[in-house]
Amino acid sequence: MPQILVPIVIPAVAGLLCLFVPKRVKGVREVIALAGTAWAFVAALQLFGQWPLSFTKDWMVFGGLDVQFDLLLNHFSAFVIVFVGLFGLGVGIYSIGWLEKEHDGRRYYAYLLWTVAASCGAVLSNSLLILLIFWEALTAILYLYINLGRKKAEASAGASKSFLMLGFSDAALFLAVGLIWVKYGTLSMSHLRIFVSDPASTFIYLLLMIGAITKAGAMPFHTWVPAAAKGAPTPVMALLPASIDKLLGIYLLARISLDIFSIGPGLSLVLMIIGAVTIFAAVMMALIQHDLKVLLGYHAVSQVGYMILGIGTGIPVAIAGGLFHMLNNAIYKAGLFLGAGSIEKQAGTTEISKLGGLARAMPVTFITMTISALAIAGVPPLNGFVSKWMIYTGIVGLGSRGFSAYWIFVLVAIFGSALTLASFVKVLYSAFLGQQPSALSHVRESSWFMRVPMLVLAGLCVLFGVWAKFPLDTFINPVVHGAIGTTSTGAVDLGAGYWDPASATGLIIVGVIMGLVVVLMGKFTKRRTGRIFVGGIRPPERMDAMHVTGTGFYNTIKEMIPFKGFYMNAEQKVFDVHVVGGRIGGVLVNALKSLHSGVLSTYLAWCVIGLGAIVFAVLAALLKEMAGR
Amino acid sequence: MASTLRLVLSFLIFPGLLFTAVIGLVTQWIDRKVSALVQWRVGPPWYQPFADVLKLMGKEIVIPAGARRAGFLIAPMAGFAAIGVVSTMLWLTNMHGTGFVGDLIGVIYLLTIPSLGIILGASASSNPLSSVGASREMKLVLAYELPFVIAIFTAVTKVSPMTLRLDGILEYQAANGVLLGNASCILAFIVCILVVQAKLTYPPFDIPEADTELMEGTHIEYSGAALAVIKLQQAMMLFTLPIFLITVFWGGLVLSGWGILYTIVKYVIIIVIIVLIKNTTPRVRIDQAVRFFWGPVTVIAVVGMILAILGF
Repeated sequence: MPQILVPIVIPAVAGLLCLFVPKRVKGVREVIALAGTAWAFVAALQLFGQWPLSFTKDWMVFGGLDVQFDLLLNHFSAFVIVFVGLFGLGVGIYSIGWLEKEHDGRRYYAYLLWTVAASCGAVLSNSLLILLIFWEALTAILYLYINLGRKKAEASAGASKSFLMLGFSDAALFLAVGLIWVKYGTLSMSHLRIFVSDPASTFIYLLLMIGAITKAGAMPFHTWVPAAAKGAPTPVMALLPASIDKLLGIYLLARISLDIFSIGPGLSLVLMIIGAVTIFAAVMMALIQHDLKVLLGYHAVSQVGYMILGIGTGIPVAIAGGLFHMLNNAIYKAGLFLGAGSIEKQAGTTEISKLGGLARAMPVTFITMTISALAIAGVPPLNGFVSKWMIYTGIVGLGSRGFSAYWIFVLVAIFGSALTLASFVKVLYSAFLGQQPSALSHVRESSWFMRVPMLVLAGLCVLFGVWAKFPLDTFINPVVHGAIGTTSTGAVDLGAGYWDPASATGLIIVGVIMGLVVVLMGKFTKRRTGRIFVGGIRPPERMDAMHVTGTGFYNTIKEMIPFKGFYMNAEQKVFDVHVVGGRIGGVLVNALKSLHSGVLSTYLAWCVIGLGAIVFAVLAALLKEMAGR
Repeated sequence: MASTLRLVLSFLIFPGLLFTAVIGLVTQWIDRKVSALVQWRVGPPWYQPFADVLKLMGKEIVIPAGARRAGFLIAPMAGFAAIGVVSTMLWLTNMHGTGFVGDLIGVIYLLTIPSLGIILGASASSNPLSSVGASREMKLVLAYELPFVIAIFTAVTKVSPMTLRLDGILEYQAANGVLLGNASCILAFIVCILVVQAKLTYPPFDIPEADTELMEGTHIEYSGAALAVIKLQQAMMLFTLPIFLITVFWGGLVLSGWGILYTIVKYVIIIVIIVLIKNTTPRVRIDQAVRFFWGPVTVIAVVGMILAILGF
């Protein structure tokens, strides 16, 4: 078998095997799943660096369309499949600890393997049609996957909403592929070079863009992500919407925007506006959520904005930042969802108001989630900071080229990251710090199967931040033709900006140690434990009475004038394309329904009117013809 | 290796933690002396802030029963370290004229770490008053971050070619005169002074600490040497934030000849403005503060930005 087929075929076959293992046989499914994902991961690692590697096989011919099974490994697809494999393997290991008896393990692991296979296929395919086929397969798998959630009503609601919205975007993609075939006569991504100038090519680009950003979950096609988060099994959220869907969506967006189409400043601006609106609106929604999983779902949407913004600028530094952010986001968002899954399993709920004080009971979950949360908020020196900083620097570059509105985009992006920080302060406070409700006194740390993937992802957050030179030089620079300058000491030099994460980290660590030395120099040996001080009164024995939940943390902002209306409209789903589309559909249906009154004379009248219209049209055409002579 | 050692030494002693802490405490004395003058008192002797910190070092540390110990004690240290890094960055850039560790974005982000450390530390203390304080501190950060970013980018817009590097901004000012000579940057500077007030949680924005209702709120459970570190961090911020404003807007630090005197005058002017605002305004509620920063202050900042784009 050609090497390039391994990451597609092996997990697909392993998935089939999984499905045929009888339910009673224990342990075999897990072994197959781990072996399949691990094999795909190792194969992807072996493929890395072997670009360009292609594989072509004639498949079928219909209607003049010569469909070839055309795969190509390039700089970009090579690094994406490495991480698809890594997330597949990580979630596979995690799931061993997470799955309960009532989950259908056979289907669960089969879908996991097929997700890896289809994602690798979509990324490696060089023909838009093959990409579309794998893309559709992923939509179908995601639908089935979300449906495995334990809360049946929410799971099926989330699944059908995701399926509808992704199906719509797939239809857009399908239309675009058809139009490209008609207009340009080829579907090979390495041959298509389209200069966007006329309305037709703009339309095709927009259709492809809709397909890409719906997968990634950007506004206005984002609402499936929080809906799915409500019902889906939590590791599924970590696997698909949080990481692999981001990789795929942004991969496609980058390919079409940078390789296939050359877009002008108008479409660039459209992308940047979509990015900025997505960052801001989604994080504002995240700020007031009270279910941890839905909150993370909104952040999964918000972070896409940075990537689209970065790619939309067209400045190499910002594009590199957008791609690096895609990678970083996949890492920490998967880590966050895995942490949420760990809380859900051990504490039995993800409702923020019912959680509290879990840091002592679940130290590993606490530390890994804190690292991921600080990374997503862009706290230096973690990885989220580096990629966001690259995007900001790129936007400033746009400003120095005379785009004077650049500061609005920088502002939205930086302020968005402050809001992200606020949202995660609420999460860390209400889940891990604060007071522990007595109902949670039984909670223990989750199993090692779950701890290891969380630790690995958190470790990657630190590594890719402190030693940003490594991912930038290995994965990003080959894609952007070495646009990012790195020095031998690990500093990143972008010309207009400079960041030396290794020095910053070293100094912060030295500073923290100095602070602790000061504490130890004091009478640290004479420390004692005392009651909390609440203004001189004796605090009650039952601490539940003193529990301040994090849900009301940002009510001040929720009740402020411009935001009050925004939140009320959002709660009535005015901004939800799915609901609005449904309403428009409903109006149309009702209008047409009222025509069916059952009265024969009305039907006849419609027939006569129709006939009259046809006659009129034919007559007009005839007259025009005669006048032309 | 030698350069690493020199870097660590400059971080620990000059111009890093030790230097910043000492000058910060001296500045706190100026603060207290000016406050005393405003209130017709004599005020403390110059060594009073040092004596306070030393006294705290000798006190025992009381850790509340339900607290998450490690988070409670380590989180504030991160802020202490971050402010030391910012101070080192600013001074070394001013002294050597080359970029060091990071640029403006790095400074903006590092300057939020002290707030973050206090918030996480307070959250870990299990005290409900700390929780309320932490929530207010976070909202205050959200409030001032919006105009702060606009104001800082006003300076970036004025510099040509646009750069985020601190050394680039200093070079531009050395060649073309201080940024504060432009109408746009005066507005940005005013905005920044208000933001500094909030970053220091000085009145009228001492909302997270709110002595009379929350009893120091975020700091309520800290005692002994841990509280001393927090006090040192506040002193260091009081020193570092004006230096940051001088670097970005006011031509930077000149450290030779009469320039030293001029630098000290610039610094003392900013400190006195901050102290006067502190002593003449009462505390506002958190929703008023958020509305103030997102309303009028942001409008001023945006006007400044538009002026900068128009070339003023």
